[in-house]
Amino acid sequence: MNCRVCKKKAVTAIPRHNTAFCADCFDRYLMDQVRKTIKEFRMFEPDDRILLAVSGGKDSLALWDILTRLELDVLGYHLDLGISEYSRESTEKTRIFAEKRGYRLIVEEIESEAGATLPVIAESTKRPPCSACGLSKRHLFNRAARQYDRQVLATGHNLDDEASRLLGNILHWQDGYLEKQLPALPAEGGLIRKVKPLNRLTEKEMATYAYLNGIDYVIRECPMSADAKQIFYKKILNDIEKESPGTKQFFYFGFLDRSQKMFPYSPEASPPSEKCRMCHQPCYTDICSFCRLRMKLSPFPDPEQFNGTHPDVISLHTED
Amino acid sequence: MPESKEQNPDETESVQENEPRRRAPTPIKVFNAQTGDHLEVPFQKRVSSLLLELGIDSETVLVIQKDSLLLPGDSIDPRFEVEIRPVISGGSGR
Ligand code: SF4
Ligand SMILES: [Zn+2]
Ligand SMILES: [Zn+2]
Repeated sequence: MNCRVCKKKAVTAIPRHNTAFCADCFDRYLMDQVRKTIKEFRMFEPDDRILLAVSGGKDSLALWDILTRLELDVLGYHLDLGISEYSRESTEKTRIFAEKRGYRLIVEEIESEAGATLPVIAESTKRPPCSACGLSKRHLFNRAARQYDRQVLATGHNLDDEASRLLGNILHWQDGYLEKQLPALPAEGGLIRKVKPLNRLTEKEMATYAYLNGIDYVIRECPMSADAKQIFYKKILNDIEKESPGTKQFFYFGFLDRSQKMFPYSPEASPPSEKCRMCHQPCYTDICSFCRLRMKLSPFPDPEQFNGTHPDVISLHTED
Repeated sequence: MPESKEQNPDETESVQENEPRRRAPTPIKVFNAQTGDHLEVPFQKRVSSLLLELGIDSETVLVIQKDSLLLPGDSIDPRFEVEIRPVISGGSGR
């Protein structure tokens, strides 16, 4: 198969666009898609400093490379989840990637921040691992953004991530999540602005970009994702896509076209109005979910862990 | 005149046409980059039939041989290992 643009041998085919590209034309296509997304959803302001959540996987490392090529100011943030060999490899690959390219990177460990590794947190709090992981990341990303004076948090969520999440949210009519499933969420109530510049590109396209650009990413799957529902939804969407290429993109972008009407985003109705008594981050009650999680793991926490602030009275029975 | 008619019955028609002198079809060595598994599968001429044999959707993997990406319609060189690199990742808290 030849490249539809220059007729050289193609290295990748994109069935939903009924096209195929050589390496150079694919690079132009992918960069155009990211530029288009950034522009359409007004993801960045001219002087924005970006905090990029980097897991060590293909999407986040590729996004780091892409945003740097677009001459944006990016600071990488990696959270070591303490998931044995998997996390060791993720942290090492992220560090090496950053060092080789001279990119700035912060690495924090969930064990130091929450008091335990992710498997231990999941086990002792009886939370699904991905839920504890998401909660910790939201908290720590937001904290890092404030600490390092970053205006926007970018993540490497791709089209498959967003379409499968949308499917899950619709199947369970999660109105609150549907309202917030936008590629650019404004800052509100002390929470930083969030953007997903890869939402037009599939996992395969991102893996292709990473491969063609010599990005050494973690290929193995997070062991905690074994029964993650999201993989199941991705499989269903891929089966549909095979029969009818383009459906995934149509589904997700069709939702975005209608979301304002069907699930209007109402920032003033939802922002956290309180500050956590322990960590002073924005939250809905007097103690944020992350601090509550931390307290479940260690009922007598070291005050130093709370950014040097002493909690006043702590209720150990506050539930989520 | 190809000698393929008297060859191994497992051999596919296209193999008989294109590789007439091969006595037995060479198995394809496959490496799954996600699980680290190495396996051998019966000779397949093209990437599409290899993926079919392995029950893999071409949109969920990269197929790599000799430092190049292969498309479903590309032929496989049985002398070299084929890397199958799954691209799907999961987890809702990412
Ligand atoms: S699969 Fe779950 S636990 Fe693993 S990194 Fe993703 S969200 Fe976290
Ligand atoms: Zn080309
Ligand atoms: Zn807190």
